[in-house]
Amino acid sequence: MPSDADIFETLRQELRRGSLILAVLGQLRSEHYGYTLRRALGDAGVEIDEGALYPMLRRLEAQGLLTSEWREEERRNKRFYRLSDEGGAVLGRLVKEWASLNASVDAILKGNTR
Amino acid sequence: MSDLIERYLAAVGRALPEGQRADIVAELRDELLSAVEAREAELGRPLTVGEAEALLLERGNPLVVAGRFRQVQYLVGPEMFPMWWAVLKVVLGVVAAVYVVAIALEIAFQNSDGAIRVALPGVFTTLMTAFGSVTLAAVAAERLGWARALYRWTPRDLPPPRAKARSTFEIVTEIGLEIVFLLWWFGLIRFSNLVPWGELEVELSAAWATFFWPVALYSVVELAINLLALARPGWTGVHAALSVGRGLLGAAILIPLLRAGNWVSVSSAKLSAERALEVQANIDLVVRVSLGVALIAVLVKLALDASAAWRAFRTGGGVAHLA
Repeated sequence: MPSDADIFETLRQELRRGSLILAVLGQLRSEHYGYTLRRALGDAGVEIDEGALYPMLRRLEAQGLLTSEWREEERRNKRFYRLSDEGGAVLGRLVKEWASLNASVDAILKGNTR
Repeated sequence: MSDLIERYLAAVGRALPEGQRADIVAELRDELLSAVEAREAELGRPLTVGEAEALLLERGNPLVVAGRFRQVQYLVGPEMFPMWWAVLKVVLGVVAAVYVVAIALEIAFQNSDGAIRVALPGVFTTLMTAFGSVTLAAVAAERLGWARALYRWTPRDLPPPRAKARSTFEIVTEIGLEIVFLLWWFGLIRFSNLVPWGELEVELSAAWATFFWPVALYSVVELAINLLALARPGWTGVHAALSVGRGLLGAAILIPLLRAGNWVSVSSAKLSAERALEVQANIDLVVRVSLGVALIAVLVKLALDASAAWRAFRTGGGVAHLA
């Protein structure tokens, strides 16, 4: 039988999964390589471990939402990611969806707490 | 310390698909080295081996890290799982039924030479093979994207809610019986003595030879009806049509079979030839009555099935109950 903490952790991860993609796409409106992307997300309050981030970056790139290129910086080869045009369009639609969902859930939660 | 990082990256690389290996490992290397540099800048000194180890432990097991780069991380995914589970239960049920029936027959017929057990592989081997085969089929369906086709359905395929449905247990048991019968009919398993009465050897008479293939066909139709009852319980029209076919076939076998007059041959090492013939005549009488009763039952069932088939087709298959 899973404990309350396990149940909470599973639900928290499910809740975060979709929003992490939104955060990554949003952050990549400016160019980043993996490590600085993770730092930037962390500084903004969105912690993501590299075990989740790098596979996600590859998936998003395979879907055409990101572009990447290898470049040398600080004496090392790094892979830089950026939102593609298609990614920008998808992000725009997702943000609208996010705002609308957020407003609806907020309204429900406020109604329930009354 | 860099040796530890390289060992870690090599371990991750070994579990990655070859085409992406170099690219992913290069990116992870930069991530790790960046993390080490940041930590060293914080501490103002190089990392100790223990600290480097802790940093790698934080990243997780190389197999898990590599696994996350794979698109599919399961054998049977959430979409295929219900189908896999439903089919597995039935297949394992049928295997269990075959063994229960075979063992029961072996005990009932005092089959001392163990022919059944020789003919059938060990129950554990069969169960494992069945499990493996069903799972492999589900994995293949998952990878080939057949799930959608397998789940295709229409409301018309659903059985009527108040239909007098047979239980799965009943159907599975019948399938088990039919498989054992077919194995016996084709000589793949045998019972040393059809009727274990004392010194008597009772075998089927030569009259049955003519009916070898019709009886085999009848059993296969019966098996198909039961398999269909499991897979597509809502196909009421098809069920009724198949049942009519089975009834006609049954009557077509029983009527000439009844005329044969002699169905068993009795021999005995101890009894005289006349006494053996007398016993044979008595058994034949029992068989005649049984076949007669069976024929009446088949004809009654045939009439009921034909009327059900007519109703199903007239009202458009499985939605007969809505009319």
